Amino acid sequence: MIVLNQLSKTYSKKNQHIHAVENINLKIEKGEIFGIVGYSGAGKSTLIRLINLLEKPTNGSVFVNGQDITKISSKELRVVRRKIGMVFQHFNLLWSRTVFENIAFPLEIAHVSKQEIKDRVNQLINLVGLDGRESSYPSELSGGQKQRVGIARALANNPEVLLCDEATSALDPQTTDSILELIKEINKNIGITVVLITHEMHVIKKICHRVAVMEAGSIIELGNVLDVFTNPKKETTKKFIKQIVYDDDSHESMNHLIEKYSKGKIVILKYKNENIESPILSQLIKNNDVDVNILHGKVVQTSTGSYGTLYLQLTGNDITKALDYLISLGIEVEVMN
Amino acid sequence: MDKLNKLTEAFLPHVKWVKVLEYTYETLYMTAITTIFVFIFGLLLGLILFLTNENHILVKMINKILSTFINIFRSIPFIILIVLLIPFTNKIIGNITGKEAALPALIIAAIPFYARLVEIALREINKGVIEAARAMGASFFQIITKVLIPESLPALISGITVTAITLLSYTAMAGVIGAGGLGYLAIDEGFSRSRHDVTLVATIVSIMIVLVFQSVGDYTTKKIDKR
Ligand SMILES: Nc1ncnc2c1ncn2[C@@H]1O[C@H](COP(=O)(O)OP(=O)(O)OP(=O)(O)O)[C@@H](O)[C@H]1O
Ligand SMILES: [Mg+2]
Repeated sequence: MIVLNQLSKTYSKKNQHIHAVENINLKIEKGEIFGIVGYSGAGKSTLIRLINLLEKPTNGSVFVNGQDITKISSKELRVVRRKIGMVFQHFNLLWSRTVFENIAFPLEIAHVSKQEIKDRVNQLINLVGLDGRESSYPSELSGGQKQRVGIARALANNPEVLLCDEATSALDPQTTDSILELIKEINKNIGITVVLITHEMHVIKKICHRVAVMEAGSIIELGNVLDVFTNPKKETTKKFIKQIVYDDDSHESMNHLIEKYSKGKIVILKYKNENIESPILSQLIKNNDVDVNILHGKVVQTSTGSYGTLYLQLTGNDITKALDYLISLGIEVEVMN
Repeated sequence: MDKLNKLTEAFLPHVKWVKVLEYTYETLYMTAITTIFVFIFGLLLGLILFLTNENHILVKMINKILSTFINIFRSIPFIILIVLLIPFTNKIIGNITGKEAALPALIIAAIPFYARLVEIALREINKGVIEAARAMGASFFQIITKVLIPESLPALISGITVTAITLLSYTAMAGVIGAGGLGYLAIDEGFSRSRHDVTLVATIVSIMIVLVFQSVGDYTTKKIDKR
């Protein structure tokens, strides 16, 4: 769907040259959600803006749907851009227009008829869950609602690609989740290719199929999200993965564990302050006929105390008894298979 | 009406209301015509100033030249500008007195003023919104008509309000070339002939016009500002 070929962007000011993007080769498949993660200044925004040529490359080419868009006229480029939706961190809505008019904007630009605009916008408003808010102005909406308008607007001309530059970075965690859910759903239902930039690993974890890690203008690591998460090669990647705690919503990782350790039971134990100190595991093995394999564990220190999570594989004859024993200690037990 | 005449005779012996009405009309005429011209050409010039403010060398040069011109015209005192423009006025209007004769000077004085206000208003627009429009495939012209003007409209309106009020005071100065209007009434008919009641009435009418302009401008700005 998108092929970047030896793509570079250098900003030059007087004698200073900033290589924001340096010789990137990348192929993004049709229908995938492709994540790009990196620290501030890594060149993520520059890269995504090169995809729709908001930024002119210093070198290299950009293929969208097999067409080299660095070679076409500005008039042709405008037509291509209608098929590449873009969502921004700060929404970039027109404050002078209502929700309806904002979503109608790209359609007006594409000279769509009034009646068609009306139908399409209403359909989009429904898709992003903003029914009843069509005549509100952006200033009357919450951040999450504004981003829903941003997404609806980006989808108006039925694009084949959706570019998201930190689309959730200005939102709280809960709203972030709902927006990510929406993007995931749209990707599933209409098969749109999504390129998503973020500096939060959990955004990648939540919805991306593949991920590229960027540093100093280059892609330093690339692969399936699960592979990169379980087997990071570069220091920067490892640091990013540390952002992620194996928490209760990491279904992908959980499924992976269940697949890998098919014998016995996979259980998650959640402790609080008081039982962490007591030697529960040795007690568990002494009192029951079970073997315990620790898959993953974490103790988190917070300002008000600590809590821990343990992922165990239990095998043996007394699994049920062992679980009852753990529950009797006041530990939260969740059996995953 | 009779009562008004009696009151006038008692307190404002020299004021003739028909004359006041006539001069008010002249002032409003001059202000209205110039404001329309200034709005159109100032907007255009402001847009050019804004759009040429780029890192492109050639484009930047156009910007610098225009900017210098504007600064020069803005620093010429209006009263001197009128005098300087007498030959030019004579050529295009055909005479150098009367209410039409003041128009070229008024327009030329106010366009650079409003152009600067327009430029400031356009700079206030969130760059991201312009970028979003570009990303959607908007053309240069569509960006101007669908983004730049609507998004800066409140500031454009309040700017033209300020300009119209400035023009109002300029029309008073235009009285020196016999342009008529309330300024002429206050100075020539009033002050010069020691008819202070006439000066007073002309001033009060001027103030009232300013107040009306300002409230209409404020109301409109508030009405369309959805930020
Ligand atoms: N218009 C510009 N002129 C000069 N330098 C620029 C310009 N835009 C970006 N840069 C530089 O290019 C580098 C990459 O910037 P970019 O915005 O792509 O980073 P980013 O990864 O998106 O960072 P963030 O997470 O903070 O958004 C930075 O060093 C930045 O200073
Ligand atoms: Mg960025």
